[in-house]
Amino acid sequence: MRRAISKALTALIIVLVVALSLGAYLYFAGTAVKKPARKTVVIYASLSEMTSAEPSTEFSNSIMWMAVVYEPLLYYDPLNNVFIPALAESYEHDPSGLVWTFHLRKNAVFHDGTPVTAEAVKFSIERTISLGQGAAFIWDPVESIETPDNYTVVFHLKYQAPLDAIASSGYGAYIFSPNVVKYAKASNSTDPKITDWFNAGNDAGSGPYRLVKWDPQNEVVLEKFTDWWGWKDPKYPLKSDKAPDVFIIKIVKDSVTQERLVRSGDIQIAQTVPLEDIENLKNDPNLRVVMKPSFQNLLLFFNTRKPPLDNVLVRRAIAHAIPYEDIVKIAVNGLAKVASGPIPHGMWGHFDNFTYTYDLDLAKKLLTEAGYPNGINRTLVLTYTAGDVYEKRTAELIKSSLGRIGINVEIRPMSWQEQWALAQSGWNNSQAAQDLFIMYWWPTYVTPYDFLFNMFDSSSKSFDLCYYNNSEFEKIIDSAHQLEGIDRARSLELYYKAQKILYNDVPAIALWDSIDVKVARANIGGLDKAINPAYATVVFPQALSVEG
Amino acid sequence: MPLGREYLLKRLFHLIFVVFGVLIITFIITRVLPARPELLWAGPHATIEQIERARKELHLDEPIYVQLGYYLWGFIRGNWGVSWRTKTPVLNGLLSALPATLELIIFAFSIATVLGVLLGIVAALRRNTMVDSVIQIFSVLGASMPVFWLALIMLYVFSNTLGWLPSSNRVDETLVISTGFHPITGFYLIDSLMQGNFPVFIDVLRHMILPALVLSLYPMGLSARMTRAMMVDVLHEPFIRSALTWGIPKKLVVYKYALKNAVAPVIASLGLSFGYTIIGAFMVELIFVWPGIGLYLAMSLLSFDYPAIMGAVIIVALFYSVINLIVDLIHAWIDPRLRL
Repeated sequence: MRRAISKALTALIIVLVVALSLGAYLYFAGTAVKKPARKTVVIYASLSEMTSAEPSTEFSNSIMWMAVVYEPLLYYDPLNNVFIPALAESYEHDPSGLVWTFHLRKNAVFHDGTPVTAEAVKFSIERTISLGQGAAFIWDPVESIETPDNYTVVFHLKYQAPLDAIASSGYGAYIFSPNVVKYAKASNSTDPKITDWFNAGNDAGSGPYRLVKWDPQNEVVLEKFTDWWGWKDPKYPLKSDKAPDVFIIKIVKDSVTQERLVRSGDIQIAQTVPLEDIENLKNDPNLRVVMKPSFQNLLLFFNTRKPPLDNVLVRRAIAHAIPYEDIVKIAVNGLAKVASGPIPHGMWGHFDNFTYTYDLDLAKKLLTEAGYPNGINRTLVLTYTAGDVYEKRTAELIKSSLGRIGINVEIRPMSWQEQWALAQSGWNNSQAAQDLFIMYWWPTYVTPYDFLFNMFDSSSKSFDLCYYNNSEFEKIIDSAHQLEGIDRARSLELYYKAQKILYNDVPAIALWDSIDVKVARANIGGLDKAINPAYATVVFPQALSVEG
Repeated sequence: MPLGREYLLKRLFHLIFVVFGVLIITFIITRVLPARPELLWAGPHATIEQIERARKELHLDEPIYVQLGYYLWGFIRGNWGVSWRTKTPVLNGLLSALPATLELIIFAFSIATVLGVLLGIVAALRRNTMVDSVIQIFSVLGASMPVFWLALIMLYVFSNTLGWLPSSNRVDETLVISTGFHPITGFYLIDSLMQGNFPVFIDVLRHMILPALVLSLYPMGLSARMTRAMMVDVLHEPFIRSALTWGIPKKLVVYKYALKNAVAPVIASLGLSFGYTIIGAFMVELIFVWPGIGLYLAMSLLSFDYPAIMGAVIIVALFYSVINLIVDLIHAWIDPRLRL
């Protein structure tokens, strides 16, 4: 009897569940799910996780989406060397170069609907300066900011500086709504509550897309902001009528998986795929491969305070013993350019005659001259960042080539943290530090000064990891930087002179300038416009066209 | 006899003890590693001054017991800290990752238990036949193939070559957006049903098949072998033979009397294999880009994101202890001798 009841009960439950599901299906099939409005979606895979949602201090990977959600005053197109108006329609400076005036466009609104005003610009930049973190240093020349009317911002500088380039920086130059104070229930602009409010996944920008989902470990979802001024301006170059409705940045932490996903169509754009597969991918009709210059380069630093590398002749000998062409061909499958000086190709301030010839006889001669006719009897230690296969291959090629002029090299892969800490210790104890050091560099904003100051000025203890100290050089780059905005020709002359000094002193050698290779599905157009080397890793979705 | 309250309390006390122990050990191990996570906080191209400031902010300049004190004080008040690489609260990250892992594991374990036990019974009933050998080989293979290898092979066959099943992620983002699907519980199968969103339900299911299958093979093989061995033993017990001679239907004898006696050790072994499955889930999540705890922990480990590592390890420890507790309770419920 009990068995029969339980059987009946089971049957009843099954019938109920089936009926309910069926009913629900029929009900919803008629309403929510049927014929959804088709939105176009582009998924862009990022190799790294997002690092914060705070526009004032972000100095890392989050610019991938911040550059889309927030706007600076200007964008810079480094390949054509022009500034593209963003929130500022035009700007000018007085003859002294100490007063810069920016005129804002009147139809720009923040995502909360309030207008972008001069007051907001002042608020944003002043907050970034007061927090003093991340890339806040770019505003160092600014003495004060005035707002004579709602749409005019005047910057008074302490010393001459290229404020247009600074205002177009990908880091630390974003404008956000002063309403954040209210939203975050903060007491003032530097209240940590505002940072918490941002990092909870809120945005206060004015850009073409809004932040709708903030899951920094997995994905960031951005949705078209229909009130963006750019959509309505038919002449504005940096947008497309077929821009995706939704742009997703998906974190896929390794390049092999990214390649798999872009092949299968699970993502539309891969940030990085293994360079050795590029030729193969080019032949896939479903994909397109886009290449653009990038302002990232790889450099080899010498410990200029430790024998034998304290001798400039030895450094010069090594400079002539590195097979630059082979390194590019083998280490990065030809997808880079042999560098000529520390300023990368395509950027202003780059000159083509700073490459050392590969000449082993000359190298041996220089070594003999330096007093090492039989080579060097100490093994030099070269450190690189473990896990980076391109650095690894480069290190191996350098080792084998230096072996041919009698210099033994021990390659030591280290985590970046250890590698950098060891290199830093060289400022206090150069004898205990490495001899050779490999690292990448890319600029905060596009100026030769970023490369020359950070890596070669003795006051930049963080990244002058060749321990180079040359006061003449430092004076030259300082004046070059100040003249950038007002006398570009003179500034270029000085930058040339500075690089000539480096060429002769050889504190470091630029090995190659990276090429930015992105792989996308064939139906994604406009990538060429959407990628700008001044904003490394960013794909501007407003310029993409989704076909078909 | 109901389970004793004393037994439960004792087990709960054990659980807290274990989790706390794990917390302290993990804390100490991560902090003695020669890493400089303040670089992570300060970001690339940070100056020495900014890094020094980061060290102070994160209390990394203080002795380890003081750091532990800060952590415990926060932990007790429900503040698990902020991830040093994403600057978002660890608890948020974990709570969004946990349902993804749970859904996957539960799904995988359900497949493993049902299929494993069934295969075991079939093998025991058809002992020493072809069927038995095939099942035996299958279960040995299932239990011994490395998960990461199997995952890659499955991906290659079912996704890349045949194109039957998707290769990554929990759900097709495009479908999510076009149908307006929004997570409620974080268990997408349940959420999509609750919203009557059948396209998403099917899609979630399709995404789950490969990772769940890969993950289920180890416990499936294990439970099949255990079930077979136990059933073979039990089927030879005198009480089974007498039951059969009394004319009780064979089905009833096998599935009720024999299985009930055979299944307890199977459940215990499944509980133990759960730890292995969590490790397997980490691999599977990495390969299938499954946004769960495994992926979260792996990424935290790679970047020395201390608070995130701590959070993930605590969750896993908690999870593991709770599962063990549940398994023991089920065990005790099935086998009354254990309650004594």
